[in-house]
Amino acid sequence: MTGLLELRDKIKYFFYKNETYVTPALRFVLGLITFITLNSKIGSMAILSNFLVVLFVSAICAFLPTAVLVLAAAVFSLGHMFSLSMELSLIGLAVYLIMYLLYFRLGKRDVVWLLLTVVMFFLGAPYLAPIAVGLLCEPLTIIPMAFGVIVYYLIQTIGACIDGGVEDMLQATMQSILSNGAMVLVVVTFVLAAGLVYVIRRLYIDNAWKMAVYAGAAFQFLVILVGGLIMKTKISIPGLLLGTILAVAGGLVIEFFRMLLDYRRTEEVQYEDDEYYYYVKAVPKVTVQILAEEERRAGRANAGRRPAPSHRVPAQGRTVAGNRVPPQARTTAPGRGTGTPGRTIQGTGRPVQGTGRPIRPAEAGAGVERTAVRSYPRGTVASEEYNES
Amino acid sequence: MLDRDKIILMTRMAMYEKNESEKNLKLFGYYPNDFISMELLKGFLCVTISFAVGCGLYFLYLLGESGPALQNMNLWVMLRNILIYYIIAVLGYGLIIYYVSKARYAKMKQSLRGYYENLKAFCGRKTDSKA
Repeated sequence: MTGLLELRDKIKYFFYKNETYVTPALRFVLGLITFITLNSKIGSMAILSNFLVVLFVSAICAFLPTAVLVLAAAVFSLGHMFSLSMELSLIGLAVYLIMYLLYFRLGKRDVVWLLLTVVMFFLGAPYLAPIAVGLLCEPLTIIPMAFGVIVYYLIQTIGACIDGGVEDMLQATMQSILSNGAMVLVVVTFVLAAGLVYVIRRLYIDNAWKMAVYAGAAFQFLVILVGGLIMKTKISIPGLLLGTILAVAGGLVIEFFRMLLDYRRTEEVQYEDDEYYYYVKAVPKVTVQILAEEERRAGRANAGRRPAPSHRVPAQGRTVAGNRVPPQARTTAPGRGTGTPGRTIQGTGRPVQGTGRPIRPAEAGAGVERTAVRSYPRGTVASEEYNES
Repeated sequence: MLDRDKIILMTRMAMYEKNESEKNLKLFGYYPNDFISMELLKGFLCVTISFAVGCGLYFLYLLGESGPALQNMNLWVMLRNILIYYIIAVLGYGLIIYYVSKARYAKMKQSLRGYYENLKAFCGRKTDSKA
């Protein structure tokens, strides 16, 4: 486990340190995968199917905002549709136009999830999309994900009919957009699953993220299975099962990188200031340093391991001072009337009153995150604040 | 000698000016009701165009699927249904745009308030240092 955590920290530190190069590289790879997949499914325009053109466009999109990559992918798909039939390209343009007018013109930055959903479908892990959206994003990101499902079915239908006549292709495309029961089932399932994952991962319960992943995967499996049986659509059970397993694995990897918490060392404290009374639950993150300390305390065989690296990679790429929290910050003067060695609220110098031990703020690099705070103003109707740093 | 707190303050303000202030100052030029009305108007245009495009797609589909059946269809009933769906679409989208614009304006106002407080603090520090 320590090895995995060290590897995770190394990867995160590498990304954090080389963000200027890594982000364009990732965009380049995403662009390459997208354009190659489009060309393999509906590639009919010779110039767009040329690998050099794909490389060139991916390289350009790597250094531009992600929305440009999505726009380039839309233009690519419209180009291929145009070479098949002008009416087909008009249908595609109409679909993209409706998506833009109703949602993307409002300036949301999560347009990349439309592309990621399509790519996940083509890579064989479609059920990971709602889990990833639910874990990592706000609820509104569900909309571009749903659009991604529609775009996938559009491209898939064109690709399936590419060898047939133009009229059959047009009719099949119209049917896939306007009366495709399977697509409606998948869209509804994904929207509800993403919402479920989002709601569960924000609950104040232990292992909320894990439970959200399992619940989302199980929900998708059941709904698609039952819905497919009711609507009599063709569903591959092994494919569904494999996709669900991949979704769970992907979700757990996301949790490992994003929010790995040690619920055994949860701390609950209460304290007050002049305005509010606070009920605080703090769950520490699992880091290499903390794990090594635990192993030394338990007197295990690897207690002689070299100390954890001095750099700490904080959540969400924020910087810390570069040093560990100095030892003197952890011990403070005795408090009043607490019965336990009292301490001060870090950074304020004010003594803690009440029954609490202080919570070291996340900015001090103490590795404390997911702090649930309920604060009640004195003498007023209770109000609730939730602070997740 | 460098003033650490002043540098932090100025960095925060510079980052805000680089990333968000242009967009927010443009919004701040409107009264809340004017901004929401403008967004509702834009939304109305967009939903009308989208509805027209969607109707066009649906008619193309009907022509392909059941061309002869279209000839027997009651035109007035069809127009009435289209009008009802259009009104529902406009009202529904209008409600969404109303709440989204309201939330955006409130968020913009909050972030600008924070920026002006930082600016005030910075000006206060500058006055103190001159004194």
